[in-house]
Amino acid sequence: MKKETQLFYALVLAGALLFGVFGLNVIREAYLHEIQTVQNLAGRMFMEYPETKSDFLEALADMDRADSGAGSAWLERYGYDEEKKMEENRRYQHTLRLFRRYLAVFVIAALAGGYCFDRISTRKKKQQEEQILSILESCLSEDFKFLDDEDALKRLGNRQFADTLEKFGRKLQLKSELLEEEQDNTKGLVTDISHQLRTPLGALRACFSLYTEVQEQKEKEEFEERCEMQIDKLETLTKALGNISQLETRMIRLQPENVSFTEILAGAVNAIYHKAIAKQMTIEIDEIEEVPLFLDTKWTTEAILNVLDNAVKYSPAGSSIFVRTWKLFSFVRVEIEDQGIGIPKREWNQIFQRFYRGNNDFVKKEEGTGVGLYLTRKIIEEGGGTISVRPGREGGSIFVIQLPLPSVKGLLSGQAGSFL
Amino acid sequence: MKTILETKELCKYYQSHENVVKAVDHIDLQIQQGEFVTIIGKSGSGKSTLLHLLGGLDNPTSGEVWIDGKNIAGYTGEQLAALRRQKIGFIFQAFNLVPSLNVWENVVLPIGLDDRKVDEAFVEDILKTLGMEEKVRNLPNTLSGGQQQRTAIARAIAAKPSIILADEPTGNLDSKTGDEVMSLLKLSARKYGQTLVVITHNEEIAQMADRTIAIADGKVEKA
Repeated sequence: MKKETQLFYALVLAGALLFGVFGLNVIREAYLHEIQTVQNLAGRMFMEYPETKSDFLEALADMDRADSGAGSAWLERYGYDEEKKMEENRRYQHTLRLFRRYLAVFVIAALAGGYCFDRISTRKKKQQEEQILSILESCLSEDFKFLDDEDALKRLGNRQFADTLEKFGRKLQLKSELLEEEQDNTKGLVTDISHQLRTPLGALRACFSLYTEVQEQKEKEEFEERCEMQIDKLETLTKALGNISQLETRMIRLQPENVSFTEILAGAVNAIYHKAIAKQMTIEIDEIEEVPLFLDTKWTTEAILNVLDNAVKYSPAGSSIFVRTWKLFSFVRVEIEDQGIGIPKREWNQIFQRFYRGNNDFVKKEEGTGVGLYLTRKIIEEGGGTISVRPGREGGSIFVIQLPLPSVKGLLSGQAGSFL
Repeated sequence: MKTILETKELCKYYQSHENVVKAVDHIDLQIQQGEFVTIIGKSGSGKSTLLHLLGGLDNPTSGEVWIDGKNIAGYTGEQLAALRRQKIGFIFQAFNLVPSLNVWENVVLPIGLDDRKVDEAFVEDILKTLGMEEKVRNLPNTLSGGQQQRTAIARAIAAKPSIILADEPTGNLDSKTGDEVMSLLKLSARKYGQTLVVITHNEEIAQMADRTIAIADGKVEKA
């Protein structure tokens, strides 16, 4: 209950209490008066006429007041009218006046208090509403200064309300900042893409101009071949760039669906199988438990395929790739271990960055766009999973992928009930 | 982005015998709202001291800690405690659950201490997603390490803090459980827009963060 309400009730209660005390006092005085009158009568009668004692006491004990009519008549004959006397009694009149005045004051005070209280609370409510409106309006115009102004929120009076509004504001602030960040990211992406395209395009142009200049058929054929190589490279690159730009600009939204873990893993392994065979490599897969998942089948398969593709690409011919899986409490854990070149610790974070390629000569020699692992991490994290790398048991690397089980679906963002 | 946690020239020195130990030595950090940062360093590098300073659990020798735009230097012990309860969730290597309270009671304890109403549906939701809904009445000593850490995570999230500070949260767990717990922590922080600062010496776990800060001899190492 609000302070004002409490004060109001306390005042009304106190008034009523005073009223009651006043009334009790009046009753007490009237009673005393009556006793004194009877005592006076008894004193006189018993002194003068002791023989009337028993009659007197009997009359006193008679609750029916059988003789009161006769008494009243006798007394009236002497001009003694008790009722009239009461009305004329100054003390009685004074009490009555006091009572009426007091009653009037009490009623007026209660009414006035109620009115004031109502006015004050209405005004306060209005102020609060205005405050809420102003906060909402500043949210609309993306002005989040009120978040740093504790008084602005305190003025709402209601703590729960202030908390919710604060969280609402923070969430909105974060969203608008994310949007800005995304825009910046897109700008960076465009720059990066044009930069990435420049190199093979330059090479193609050089090849082509040499091709037009040379006369000899054999040389012409050689440059033709080189041109084609560059065109292939451009094609792979554009495809990869298409994927990441679509993913980054959210033109592709992952579409989670019910899918079995086996289906995803088998899809990825099948897609890489021929490439591995061509390099006399074996892929050894531990027994897979049938686990239902809720993920985007196509893109998750693509993500795992990227890791397998790297494993084949950066491992010596004749080596093996081990795929191990575990069903954990909230995630499925997939480990993909190769016997390849391995990744130095300082590059662990970099390999997942956009367009990063290792400094190793072996890596430089292989064709690649520096997009694969970046895309993989993005897809997996978008789906609520994680990917990390650690050293393999015999050189090489282990990529650890954790995919969320449907039971943790509630934790994936975009669900209701989030807060800041 | 808004900076939610910041240190300025932060120092913490200890006197040990004749020597001064510089556990934290002029560290300037800026952590943005919603960011997931790991602070990595060998044992004795000063990373735990740094986390304690960030959470207002310890006083710096010099320098400042700013939480959500406020310098906490002038705060009294009581104000600091209130700030911690409302803004910060802690997760420790040793879980720090109260042994005589069951899972539910442990999780809602900080909310009760702050005299706030427990959002029961929300806490139930967290415990369910963390896979603890059937262990709600269990006492901590009947739980596995992973389950105890899940409970500690639930406790950190339940009070809806804007910052979660975790000191070696996977230190007592095997590597698979550790990876899983980190992923859960990351997912929940992302979902609830919380800033997550995790201290670890494990570089494998550190990879999951948006950013890694390496600490050596009380200083931030240049990347």
